[in-house]
Amino acid sequence: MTRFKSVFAYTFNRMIRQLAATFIIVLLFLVAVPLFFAVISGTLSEYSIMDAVRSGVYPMVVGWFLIVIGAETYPQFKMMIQNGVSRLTYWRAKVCAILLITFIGTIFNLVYNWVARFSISGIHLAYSQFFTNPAMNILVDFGFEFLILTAVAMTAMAVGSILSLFSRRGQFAWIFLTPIALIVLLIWLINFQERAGLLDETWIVNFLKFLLGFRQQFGHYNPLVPEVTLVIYSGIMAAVSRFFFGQLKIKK
Amino acid sequence: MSSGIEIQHLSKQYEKKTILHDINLKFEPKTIYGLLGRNGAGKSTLLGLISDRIFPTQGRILFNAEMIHDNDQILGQFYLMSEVDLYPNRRRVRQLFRDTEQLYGEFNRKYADELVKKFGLDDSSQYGKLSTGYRTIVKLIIALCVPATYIFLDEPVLGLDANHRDIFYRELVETYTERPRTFVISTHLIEEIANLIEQVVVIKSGRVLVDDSSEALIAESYAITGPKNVVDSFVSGLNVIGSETLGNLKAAYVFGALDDRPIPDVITIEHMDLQKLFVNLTNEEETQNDAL
Repeated sequence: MTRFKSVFAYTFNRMIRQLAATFIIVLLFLVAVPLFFAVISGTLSEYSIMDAVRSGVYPMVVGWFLIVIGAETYPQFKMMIQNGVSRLTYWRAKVCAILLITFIGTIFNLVYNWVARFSISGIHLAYSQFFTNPAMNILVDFGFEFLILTAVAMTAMAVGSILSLFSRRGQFAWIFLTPIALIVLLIWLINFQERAGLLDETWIVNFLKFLLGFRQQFGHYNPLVPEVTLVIYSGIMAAVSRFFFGQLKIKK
Repeated sequence: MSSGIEIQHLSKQYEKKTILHDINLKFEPKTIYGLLGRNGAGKSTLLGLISDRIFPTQGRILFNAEMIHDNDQILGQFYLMSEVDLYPNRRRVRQLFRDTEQLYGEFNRKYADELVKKFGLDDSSQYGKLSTGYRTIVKLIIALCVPATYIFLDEPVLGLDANHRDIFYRELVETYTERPRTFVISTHLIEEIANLIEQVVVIKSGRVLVDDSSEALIAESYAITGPKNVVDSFVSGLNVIGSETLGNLKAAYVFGALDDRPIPDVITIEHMDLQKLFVNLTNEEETQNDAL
């Protein structure tokens, strides 16, 4: 077995076990805890296990999990470098493992949405009737879910790899200061837009519509443009994480 | 045919402090090295650089003429056991053995099980819950069982009691005899490893002071004892690396050839042991050894 295969197998096994544990914890929290309170409060007749199972939290679990596992860089780097694994192989194995986990998570989310909630959810609705062939629309739905989760995971990997270069104190500073800076930037952008009327500019609006695959009729938006955009965005985030993985070193 | 590790003009700075200055060294295959130096001399930094855990400020490290940086083939032939704990605290010892086997591709499980018994280690314990000594033992067991051909041991007996140290030294000799590979041992307990090491590298203030076989070093190091004035006269012009005086008696420590000068009857000349040689070579008060 090549070094990459063994590192990938190690990384993937670890991630899938953690994902399973996360699902079990969420399941216990959403099913068992309300059941417990229903029993002690004497409202067991009002408790419905199907309501608990149909909770919209499950599809979010994969996203949250990918953020956490994607951002976690340094602890695994320590294990890898201790075992003579290069930064490049660690990065490649992590990207591949995350893509496979994302693939599995996407299938879970779609099956869950179809079986437990009988629906397509969220942003996918805008693109759900683009193709006349229903099978193609299911594929689009899958592609959207997969690419959004991939973009989330790659962003987490990029952010995690940058944060891993700082001390714990530096990481906390970045984690707390960045959202504040983003909020300030957003407020400034809103004010700037009101003054400058950026969205009055036709080309900006047209470009945003193009990125979204906008069509006149909701449900018939073109999914290909945003999907390609997500692929490009994920590629950029992966490249950023690759660069910062290359800078990883054992801290003093 | 392996040509070993070659370190060329290696320097390392942390912020403005230079830890290593222009290091040039070779680590040959199938040899046991003693990497000696006082606290803060730069030994751990050198080992960290060789195992690609940190980056050099200048210079390069080659293995069989290939750069070691981010090279899986090469890094898979190295194992660094250091004071720094890089293993996850919540992982059980036997899981760590499995992880190592998976990541290195091989692991001598049978020998690891034997060592677990010999050291009295509970391999179902979580790594982080072990004492310092037992964490050292876990790392030593892994170091002796991985398929790597270059094993770097940075303070390998940290926290070990005398019995465990004895087991380790015996196992080191045994495993080296069965499967010769390079061991680079960095320790302060020089007396305990003096009989094991074939080559000695002494680092002082980030510079290589000595790089020679232990036999050659001991053959060239002398303790000259006798009346103070006779000893002073005898060692005049020699490379004196240290001395001790008790009343009118003096012991002068010389490193290097004695040439053919006549030896007075009242002085005795003996070879120094490695520990004595190291102490005198790295003594900050002495300045002559800088010229070695």
